[in-house]
Amino acid sequence: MGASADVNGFFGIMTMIIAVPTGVKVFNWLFTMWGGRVRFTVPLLWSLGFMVTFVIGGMTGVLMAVPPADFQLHNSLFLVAHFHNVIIGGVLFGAMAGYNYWFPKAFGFKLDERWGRASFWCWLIGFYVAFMPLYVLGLMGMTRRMQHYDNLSWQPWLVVAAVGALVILAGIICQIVQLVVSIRAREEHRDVTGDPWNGRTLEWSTPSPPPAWNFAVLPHVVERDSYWSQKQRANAKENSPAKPRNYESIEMPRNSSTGFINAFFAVITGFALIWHIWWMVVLGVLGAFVTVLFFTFREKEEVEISAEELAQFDREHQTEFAI
Amino acid sequence: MTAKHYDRAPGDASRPTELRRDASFNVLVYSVGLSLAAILTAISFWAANTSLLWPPGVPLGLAALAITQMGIHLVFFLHITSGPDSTNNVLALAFGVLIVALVMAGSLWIMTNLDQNMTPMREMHAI
Amino acid sequence: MNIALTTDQFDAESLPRANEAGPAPKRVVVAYGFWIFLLSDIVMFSALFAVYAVLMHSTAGGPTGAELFDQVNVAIETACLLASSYTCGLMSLAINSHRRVGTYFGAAVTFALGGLFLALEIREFANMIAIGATPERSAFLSAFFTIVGCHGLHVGLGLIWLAVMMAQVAVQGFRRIVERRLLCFSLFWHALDIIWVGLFTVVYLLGVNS
Repeated sequence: MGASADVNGFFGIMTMIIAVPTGVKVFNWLFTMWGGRVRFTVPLLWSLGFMVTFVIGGMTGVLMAVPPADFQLHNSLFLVAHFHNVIIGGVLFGAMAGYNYWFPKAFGFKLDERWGRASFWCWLIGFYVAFMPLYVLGLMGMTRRMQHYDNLSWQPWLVVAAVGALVILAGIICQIVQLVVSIRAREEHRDVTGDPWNGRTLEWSTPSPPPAWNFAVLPHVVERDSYWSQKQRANAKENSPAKPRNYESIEMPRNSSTGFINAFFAVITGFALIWHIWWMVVLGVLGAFVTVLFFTFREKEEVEISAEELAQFDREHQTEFAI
Repeated sequence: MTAKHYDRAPGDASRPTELRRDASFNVLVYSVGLSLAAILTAISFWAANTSLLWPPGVPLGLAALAITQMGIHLVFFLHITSGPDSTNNVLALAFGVLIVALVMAGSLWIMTNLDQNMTPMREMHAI
Repeated sequence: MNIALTTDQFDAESLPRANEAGPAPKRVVVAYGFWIFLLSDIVMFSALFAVYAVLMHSTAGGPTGAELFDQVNVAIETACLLASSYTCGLMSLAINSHRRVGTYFGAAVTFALGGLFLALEIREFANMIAIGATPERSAFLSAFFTIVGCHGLHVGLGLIWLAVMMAQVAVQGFRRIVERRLLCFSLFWHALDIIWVGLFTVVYLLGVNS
């Protein structure tokens, strides 16, 4: 794009170098499953979909890192297909895995498995049907952001892509339905142990949802997978009495509405700056400033949670293994 | 792992565990910083205006003086030292300097490259 | 040190408790976070520096830096900002020793010097605009007003912040949180002077040369 060979070469090499640590990461993710017994729950389905889709998208990126190839393919639908491949595979599938996995911890009840599976399969199949034709179209010369086109040979591929988009739409609808169904049936899916997945990490030792202070007592961690190891040992010796816990009061930050109110003033200020409405700019900035002043001069920044309150909460929300 | 060490906040004059040094030492640190910075500033102004220096070398000299003065500020006013207390602050600063260098050098390289390679527009038809 | 131990191999009581070393004190954490923010601000300024460096010769037939810049004015501005950095340092010492009068005095002088810097800069801008050297005149002038104006905006916001902090000291005294905020302010003020060193060198001194 107007630059000389050495600039293009520099960027080509830098782009290819990205693939090296990314490859290491992909092996890291694969090895988290090595030697384990994999349960194909909804979060894991999304994770597997993420790994496969992200790798394919990454490979087409390295393909485009070669400057002569990029000269042809830049701003074509090949590029569009590539970045959707990595973003949908990487960000979206990963986010959905996290959403399904941690939803019970955050809200206290699990999401419906069946609708979760349906949404995953619709998304996965829909994504490939929608975007693989775009790679072909890019190679055939179709560029991005076209208002209209007159090349008939592109038409069949675009129709296939449109069908894929509809399948993705079905996947989105399944996600919405999943949420609605789960909220309606939340008492059946209630997470009472705090550990619905039989997890390895420390967050599963808290009740679902966790209190504001997260851990009533600082966890005593001496090894990797500390929570998991303690669970195994507790399972081995069934009748050990629970150790009495030593509660100390915890200082938590005091809540404040400053952020919320300031966001409102920030919107006003931004809008006014765009349209040069200067009186509104002054109003927005002053409003934000005064709000921050109120926050600045507040008397106490922290609230103390007493040891009794911690003990009381622990009694009412017994988890299976308190670490 | 159990060895105790303390981190220093950037901008803090002394470690929290040390006894407070007497005020005159701290004032001396700031005064030395001020004097050095003032001297470097004066030299910069002189270098930009004198005819005694080889002209193509002046920008490089000014850059060196500016970077030195930034260093004076960091050491004497912000107390960024090479001691173990300051390691985190130095690392953050080093990373910031790296990004600044990349942004400046990269932008200048690419813009000169484009300037040399792209066709200049004709005066009459401005787009 | 092998951290992968099981319950059979160690006595839980003999290991140092996890919270014995503890997290760093709040003062250190707050200042470090603010230091990282300042570095990001400096990265933003470096982008503006890059823009200025690319465009400083694009004067579109209009006035150049050599014609517009008054070095005496710049020298006075530099002296003001450098001196204000010094008085800010003295103010920090007064804050550490909880000396109220020293704090107010250091703050007042810092404020006055910073205000003088800003007044001189605004006057310089007004003069330039009056003779037609507006930001719209050429790419060089757009870049100039953007970077110098951005720095001036930071100085102005810093002065407002300083005034609010003095009100805080008056109302709440030297509470820990007030001390932390003042530490952040002094970091900010010193960083502004560092950026000004770059600014007067690249914009004004190099502009005079070419």
